[in-house]
Amino acid sequence: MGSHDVRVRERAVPVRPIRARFWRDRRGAVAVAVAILLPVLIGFAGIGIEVGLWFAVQRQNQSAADAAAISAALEYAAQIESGVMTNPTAAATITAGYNLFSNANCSTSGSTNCTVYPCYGFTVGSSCNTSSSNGTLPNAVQVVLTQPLNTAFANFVTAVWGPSVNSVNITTTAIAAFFPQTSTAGVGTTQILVFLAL
Amino acid sequence: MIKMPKGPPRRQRSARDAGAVATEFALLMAFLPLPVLAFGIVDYGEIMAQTTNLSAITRGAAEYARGQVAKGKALPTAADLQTLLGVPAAVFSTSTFCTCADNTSVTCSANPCNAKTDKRVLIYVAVSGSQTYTPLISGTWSFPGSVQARTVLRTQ
Repeated sequence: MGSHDVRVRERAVPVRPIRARFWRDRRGAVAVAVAILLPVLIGFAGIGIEVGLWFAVQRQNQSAADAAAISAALEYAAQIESGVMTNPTAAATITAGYNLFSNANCSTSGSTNCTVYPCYGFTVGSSCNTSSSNGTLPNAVQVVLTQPLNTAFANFVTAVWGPSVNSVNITTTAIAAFFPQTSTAGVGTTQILVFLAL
Repeated sequence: MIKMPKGPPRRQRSARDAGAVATEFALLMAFLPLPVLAFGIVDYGEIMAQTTNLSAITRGAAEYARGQVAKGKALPTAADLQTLLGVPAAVFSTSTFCTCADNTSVTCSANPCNAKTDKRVLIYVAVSGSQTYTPLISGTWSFPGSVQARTVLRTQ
C-alpha cells in the first residue's frame, strides 16, 4: 500500500487521464485524512463535554427539586395543620429559584418547567398517587423540574444519522413526605417532619 | 480505487518512503492545536466533575444544617461542616435568612410577619461551597479559577 507501488504503475503506463492520476497520487494523503477525521474527532469530544454538562446541570437541579419539594411539603403540612390557606406552588417556585433553577414557574397543571403534585397515601418506595379518594389529605408532594438545554454539539452529531437534537430536557424529580401534627395548634411553632424520597 | 501491481508483493518499502507518513503527520501537528484541545477537554471534564462533587457535598451539608436548625439547634459553622465532611480542599459558609410567606425579606426576629395575613416566618438555611481549581492549560482557555455550589433549604 506504499506509494512505491503506485510509481511502478506510473512508469509502466506513463500517459493516463488526470482524474486517474489524482486518485493514485498519495502525496498529502495524511492531510486529507486529518481534515476529514478532525471534525469527527472534535464532534465526539464535544458530545462528551456536552453530556458532562447535562449531568452537572442535573445534579444542581436535583438539589433544587429537593429543596422545592421540602418547601411545598411544609406549605401543605401548615395548611393541614392550621387550616390557613397556603401556597405550595409559590413556595416551590421561590425555593427552586434560590437553588439556581432559573425562571422557575411552578404550577399543578404540568404544563410548565416546574410541576407540583400532591401525593395521597404515599409510602416510601411507591410512586406519587395524585388522585384523592374520599377527601383524604395529601401526605407527600412531588416536584418535577424540567429544564430545556440547547445543544451545541449533539445537534451536529445526531444530524449525521437522523433529525438533529436541538434541545434536551433535563428532568429531575423529588418527593417530600410530611407528618403534620394536627393535635398542636399554632402555625410555624410545631415541628413538621419532612423527609425526602427519591 | 488503487490497484495493486501484479506479481509477487514486495516485502519492504523502499528506504525513500520510510517514515514519510510520520513526517507528514508531524508537520501537520505543528499547525494543529490538538494537544491544547486535549488538555482543554481534560480541564473541562475535571471542572465538571468537581462542580458535581461540590454540589453533592454542599447539598448534603445543607440537609444536615437544615436538620440542626429545624431541631432548634445552632446553625452549623463552616468549621463544623469541615469536621463533618472532611473535604479540606473546599471552603464552606453557612447562613440563615428569613422571609414572610409572600417572600418579603425580613430579619429573623420574633414575629416579624404579624402585619401580614399569613403570619408565618419562613426560615431558610443556605450553605455555599467553593473549591479552587488550577487548570492544566491556563491562558489558552479562560477556565474559572474555582468552582462554586450553593444549596438553600427551608426549615419551617
